[in-house]
Amino acid sequence: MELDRDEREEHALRAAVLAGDEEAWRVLYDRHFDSLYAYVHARTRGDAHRAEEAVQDCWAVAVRRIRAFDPNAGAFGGWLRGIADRVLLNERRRWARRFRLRGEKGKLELAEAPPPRLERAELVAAALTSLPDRYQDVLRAKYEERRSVAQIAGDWGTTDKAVESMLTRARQAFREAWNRLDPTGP
Amino acid sequence: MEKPMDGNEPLVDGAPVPPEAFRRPSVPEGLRERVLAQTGRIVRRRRHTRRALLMAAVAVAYAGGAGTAFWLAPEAPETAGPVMTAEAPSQTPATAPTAMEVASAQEDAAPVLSDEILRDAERFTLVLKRATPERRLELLREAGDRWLDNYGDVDRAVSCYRQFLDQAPAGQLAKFHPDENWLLRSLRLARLEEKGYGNASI
Repeated sequence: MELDRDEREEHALRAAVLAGDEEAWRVLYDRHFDSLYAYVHARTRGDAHRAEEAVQDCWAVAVRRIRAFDPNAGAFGGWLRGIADRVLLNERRRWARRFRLRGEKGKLELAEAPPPRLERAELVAAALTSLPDRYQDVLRAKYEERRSVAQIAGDWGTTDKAVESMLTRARQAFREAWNRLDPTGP
Repeated sequence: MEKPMDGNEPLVDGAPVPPEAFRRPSVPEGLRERVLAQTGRIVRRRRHTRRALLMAAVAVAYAGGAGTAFWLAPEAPETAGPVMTAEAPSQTPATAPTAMEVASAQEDAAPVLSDEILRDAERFTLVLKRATPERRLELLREAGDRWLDNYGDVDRAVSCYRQFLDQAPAGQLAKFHPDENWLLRSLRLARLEEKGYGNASI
């Protein structure tokens, strides 16, 4: 099965990186750089400067903590996005600490600025880029490129049924990601 | 379980999804290379530290083994008598080799591992059986490299590399080659750890 093979490959890559193999690190890096950047870019509402800083922090954490990555628990891309969520949360807290209120008795009171609500397009982008690559690919093919199920199946060398099944799972995953980002729902 | 969607089901309810939602942002120039350089340094440092510890462990193990072998080695006995030689093979009438024998002889002498042999498990096994131990190791290493580089087949590459490591003598097992790929290197290190040469962790 392709999933098992990906898992085995990520096991081997993780072991190689822990052993100091730069080539293995490069394989992981090249595979996931663009999708991580897109995810962070969406989560920072298109702020390229913030996205750049956050992406640097994410990869620095990933290379130092790769021993904590468990391929049995999920794909490397998902683990990276988890790191990105924590990096972005810490970043928001740092910004929020800059806004302070002084009370009547001169006490400093910390006011946390609420995280800005994402606009609809930003929500879609953030939810989409949080998905595994194969789900992103099928959703982009269907909703951005407006290809039919038969056309996608032809391009990928698979059956219509397989594409429909993948679309169902991708859409479900998208809804779950959306609800995490905006609990009021799509 | 949600029934498979039809072609017209929208991605989100309500207004259509704006096209910019799907747009892939362009990565700022230089960011990719800069971050790779920063993270690559950390991976390299890890390799140098690990290699230094590994070599130290192998050196200690080798010194211990060599010392023990020297201490335990018996004295060479005095021998006398004729030196035995192999008998000359009996002469048999020459017969024309069959096509299969010719092909097999060509495979034995083949300096390169052809794709045809690589992809035919039976022929590859036969070639390995007939090869000298040194040549067998070369073939297994080359097969692993080809499966990974040319076909992207990690499973077959792992199988070849494992056989290579199974048959490699201890001294060769600990020898790292600069042109080894990530997969062989990680399997080699795992094998060394199994044998107790690489217990240090980073």
